[in-house]
Amino acid sequence: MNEQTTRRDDFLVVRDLKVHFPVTRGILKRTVGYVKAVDGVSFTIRQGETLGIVGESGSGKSTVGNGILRATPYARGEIIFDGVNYKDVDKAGMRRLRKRIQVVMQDPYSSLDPRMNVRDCISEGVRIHKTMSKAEADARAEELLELVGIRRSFADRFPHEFSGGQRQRICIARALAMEPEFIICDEVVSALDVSIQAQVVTLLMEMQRMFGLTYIFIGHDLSVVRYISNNVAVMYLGKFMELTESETLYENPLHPYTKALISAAPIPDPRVDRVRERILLTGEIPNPIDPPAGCRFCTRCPFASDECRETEPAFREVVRGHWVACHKVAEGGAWRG
Amino acid sequence: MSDNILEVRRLRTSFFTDTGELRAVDDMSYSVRRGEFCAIIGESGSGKSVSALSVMRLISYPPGFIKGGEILFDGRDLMGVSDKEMQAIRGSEIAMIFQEPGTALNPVMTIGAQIEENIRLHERGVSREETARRTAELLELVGIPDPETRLKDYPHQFSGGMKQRAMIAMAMSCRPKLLFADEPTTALDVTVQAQVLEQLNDMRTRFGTSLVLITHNLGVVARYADSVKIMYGGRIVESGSTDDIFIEPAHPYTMGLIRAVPRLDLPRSHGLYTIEGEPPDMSKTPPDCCPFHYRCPYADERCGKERPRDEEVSPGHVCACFRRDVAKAAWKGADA
Repeated sequence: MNEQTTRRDDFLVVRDLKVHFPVTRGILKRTVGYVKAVDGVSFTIRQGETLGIVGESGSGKSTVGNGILRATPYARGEIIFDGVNYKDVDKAGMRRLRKRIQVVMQDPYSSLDPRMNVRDCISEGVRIHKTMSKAEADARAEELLELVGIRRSFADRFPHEFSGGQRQRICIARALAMEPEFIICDEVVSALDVSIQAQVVTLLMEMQRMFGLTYIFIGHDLSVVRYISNNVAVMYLGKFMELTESETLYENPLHPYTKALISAAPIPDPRVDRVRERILLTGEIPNPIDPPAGCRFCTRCPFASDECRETEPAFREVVRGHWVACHKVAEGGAWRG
Repeated sequence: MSDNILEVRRLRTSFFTDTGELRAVDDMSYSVRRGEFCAIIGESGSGKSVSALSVMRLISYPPGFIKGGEILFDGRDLMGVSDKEMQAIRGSEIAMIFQEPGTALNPVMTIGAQIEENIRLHERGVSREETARRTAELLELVGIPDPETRLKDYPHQFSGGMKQRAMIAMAMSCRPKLLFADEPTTALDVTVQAQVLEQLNDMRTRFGTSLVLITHNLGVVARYADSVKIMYGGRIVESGSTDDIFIEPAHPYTMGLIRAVPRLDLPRSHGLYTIEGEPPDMSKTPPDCCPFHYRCPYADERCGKERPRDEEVSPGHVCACFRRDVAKAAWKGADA
């Protein structure tokens, strides 16, 4: 795959993805409502690039990943992976497709089987999909271990003998074992110390270069996400609020929520941090069973007006490549206040 | 009355495990002034939480053991008080907030009952009505809307941020003189983190409580802390005022921590910095060395053989490092 010279512009196309979980009640499991975890998001990822998705807990960012993985039966909308529409593939085809898509999850403590040594942890997927012999799979596992910066001789050790950062490296090696083309990284550094986070992000970027991988990088910390992402989407209550090129997003954020996220990120310099202006949001993300009318962010937005509380703003391209859903942002990106 | 609410002198706490003695806190001395906002920074395994638990005398034996040292709280040596006296101090004069509000709260008691319990345990003769009124007031102070209704809720009905606010309310319910907050915002979203920190700081000034905030992220304390202590391998390797630490860091580890915080205010080309390697295994690290020498870019032979002593860099700014001058020159060079 690294010999590939032409990269697809539309490697992954997602159109109007919705994931509505039914809320049931009573012994008859009557559906009384829906948790609209993802409520219509669309995006395209170019091969070899990274889309970052930033949002708070409950924003639906992980569910977007699950939708693409087909890990939930409630996903609606169109997903086209490398020219193949999910609609057109049968169960066996989906299995083949899913091999090309891997995931690395947030908690490196619970995502590794404590009773398996790391060699088996890494080669388990290969063994299940029967793409190579046991001996080959083991040799490959050790190679990968070395590639992610852990000594080969540690292959017989068990997950509990490793630190959080090392475990996350093992999870990355496990994802790479399937020789995927696409990896969903779901909050992969959130559980790690700041001093270790950069190690894992750097490793992911190296692997991307080496294997021509395409990523979705999900996180709640914009300052980490922007380093690895080409484009960043800011998500709130199941919808994208803003989507643009990573550097543009932080240099020229248009949506008030993005501005608040940027201003909440800590800066390790008291001279800068004590004097800069901060937008402290009040309250927390509302319940997605019953999202507010109008703009979803209106209950916490310091600039919300009647218009915002009545009609939902469209997600539109105000400047080339810069999408935003806010009534207060005019065509061209000017603030209408 | 001394200026310091807390003085810890030469504290040593160890855990005895199958693989031998693990020196979690290894000769640590520090003090906290009255009303101060003090931050203790360190990675997982640096001993930062154990140092707080030691002051609270919450180290269970076995496997843990406070091997030595003095803990002077408001003039009293806590090492000498009985378990019963300590119980009376804990929760009323010294309180603590933990990282995971989900596990620190009792799931089968209402939020209100848990806060009331603390008040009733520590203050005799307060009427039921008075306790309930104070509880509602506290919840309102920490920014929980509609407190009279919410105090009848169970923890699972609260979001992560609200649970942490409830924990703050509970910790402040007896107006403690000293509050330890152990990674209180780590499990929370960035926007809620900022709210909770603001809240903690507000409660500190309102009640005149001294606050010791323990965290792995240097970035979060720059705005609030008066003083910062950097822990590594069970010791304080550098301490000073917030400006000393952030603007004139002296220890190579502190420099690494500052550079490791991803900067949203600088262009991406600034790059991500990482401290190579992993925190040391304290059961395998010999006592006579600088624990950071395995990962230090400036370490020489002496660092692996001898333990660096605390030296004053400037008044109130202390650092334990043999290679201070080399590190400083490199830091200044990178800054320019």
